[in-house]
Amino acid sequence: MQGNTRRTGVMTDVHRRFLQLLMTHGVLEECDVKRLQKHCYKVHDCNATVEKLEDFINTINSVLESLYIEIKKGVTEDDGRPIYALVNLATTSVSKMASDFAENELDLFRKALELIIDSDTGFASSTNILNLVDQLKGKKMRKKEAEHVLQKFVQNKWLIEKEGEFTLHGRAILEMDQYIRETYPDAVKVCNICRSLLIQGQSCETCGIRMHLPCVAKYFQSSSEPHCPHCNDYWPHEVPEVFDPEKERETGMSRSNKRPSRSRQH
Amino acid sequence: MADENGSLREAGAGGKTRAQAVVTIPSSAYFLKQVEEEEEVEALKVEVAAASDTESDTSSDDLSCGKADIDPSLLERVDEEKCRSIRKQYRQLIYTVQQNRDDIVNTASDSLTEALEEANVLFDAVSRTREAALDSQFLVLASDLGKEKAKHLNSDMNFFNQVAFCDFLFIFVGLNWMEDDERDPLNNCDDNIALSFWETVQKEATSCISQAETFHFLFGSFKPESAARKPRRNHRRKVQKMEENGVMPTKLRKLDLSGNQEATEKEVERILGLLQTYFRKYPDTPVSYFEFVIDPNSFSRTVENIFYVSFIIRDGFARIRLDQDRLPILEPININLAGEGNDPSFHSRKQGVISLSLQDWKNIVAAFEISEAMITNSY
Repeated sequence: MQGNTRRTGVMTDVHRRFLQLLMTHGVLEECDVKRLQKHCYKVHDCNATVEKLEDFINTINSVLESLYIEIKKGVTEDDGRPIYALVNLATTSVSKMASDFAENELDLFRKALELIIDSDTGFASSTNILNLVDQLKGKKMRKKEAEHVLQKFVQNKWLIEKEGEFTLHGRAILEMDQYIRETYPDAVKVCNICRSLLIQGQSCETCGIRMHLPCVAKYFQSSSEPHCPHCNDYWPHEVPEVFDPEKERETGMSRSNKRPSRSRQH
Repeated sequence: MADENGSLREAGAGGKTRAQAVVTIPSSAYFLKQVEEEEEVEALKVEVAAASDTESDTSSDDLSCGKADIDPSLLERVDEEKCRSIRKQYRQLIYTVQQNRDDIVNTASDSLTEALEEANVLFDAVSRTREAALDSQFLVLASDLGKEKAKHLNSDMNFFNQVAFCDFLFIFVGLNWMEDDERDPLNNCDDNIALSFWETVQKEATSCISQAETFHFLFGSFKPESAARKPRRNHRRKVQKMEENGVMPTKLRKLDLSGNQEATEKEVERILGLLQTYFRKYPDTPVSYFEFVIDPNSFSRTVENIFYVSFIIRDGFARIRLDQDRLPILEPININLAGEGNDPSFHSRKQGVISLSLQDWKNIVAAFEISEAMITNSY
């Protein structure tokens, strides 16, 4: 992700505190990350010059590199908010043991992931996921328990639930990117604009290319008549608005109760 | 008293005659104790006499195992004063402990230990059974109190004394509860002190709570075999399976309504036939909506008609609009025109019913002077 021009920075307590806090949250939106950075400077070193967020994170990443951990930046698939997540990059014997979840819980997640990847919409209904509970590895799990486990994954920001259907959280996409590409090479979808992994988005009805909603928003931002970037056919879906942090701040208060309804085009 | 002495002597003699001296000593001690209790208020003289008597007996008992050559009477005289003071001290000790019983049990003081230590010092000077009996009497009392204290000990950690906790908390942060006349130091002091209070508490509390969150991740926690998963299932088959799942509810919905739907459809078609007959008869005059739907003889029939006509309008066989008097009328849609761009499916398919109360219906029947239903009953 990062260029190889990155020099190894020096971590101060500011960076360490920031990292610890990010560890606690797992994933944060950009505005929160900025606030966190400010907070860390305030706690440890008021006089230090505040690094640019990008450099600040690069400094941490340069140290984390040897541990195969990285702070990755991504964008939420539905409304395009920038997010930062601390992700693990390597599978080692240690990482296999250090999981928060039991074997059958992980298997449930894997199965849900499979359904999500295989689905056209990027969503898997809870009914379909729960129907797979009998095939889980490890300890037997009841449907009721499986529901709790799914909720746990939602709480820990690995899954998002919308109207009884599950999709991957931005955090999971950032972390599982490599895994998904390797494990489902023929089912994986890629955005035609940014070329990164796509779980939910819009697709051209003629040629079938897919685009992230935020990418669609940016790409068609100025065009009144959207056409598919691949086959130039008419783009039949509603073009969402571009994410605007300024506007977001104004509407931030009322956001929770008027979330845009999920677009189910594909 | 004489009797007692006699009995004591008997006991002592009995003890001597028996082989085991061990048995006799407790028994004589028992008598001693009894004597002690009874003579508590008796004259000193009698006590001395009794004491010397019993003493000579018991000491001879004690010494019966080889030390008989020491003159017992000599020993007695020396110790008598001292023994009395020991007994007095013991009684004093027992008395004070009993008086302070509640305090000793309920507070966390060391007073019981102190009393025991005092008794220990006293016991160093004890040489006779009589004083020793007092010592054991005190010991019984002390162990009683000990047991009670143990009962009071809070063994389940759920118990929480708020007042005590507050006291400790204030002492901990350096605020003295007692210094303040009012019982609320936090409210009296200024914000700075309150702030420093919470800071101190926070500093202490954080050290007790391990806050460092560990790194949570999913990638890499999967079993290796899951990564090398079986060849992907046929996608199409999967889609099919999903569709099968999806078919179920559709089927159900149809099944649910089919009976109803058919009856409605039939009725709608019949009414459409009536309407079209009317339109054919008078191709240029639209029909009043109310005159068409209202059955002057039946309110419920009217409501049904309104419902059926809504389908006719939805399906584009007729149009509803307001005439110059702003009354709703039904108009035919030219079938020929419908072919060319006036495709009914192109219209926004809207369907609506109006609300109609029983009174409305009566009013309309009166106002329009409807005497006969246009939609005749089919049965």
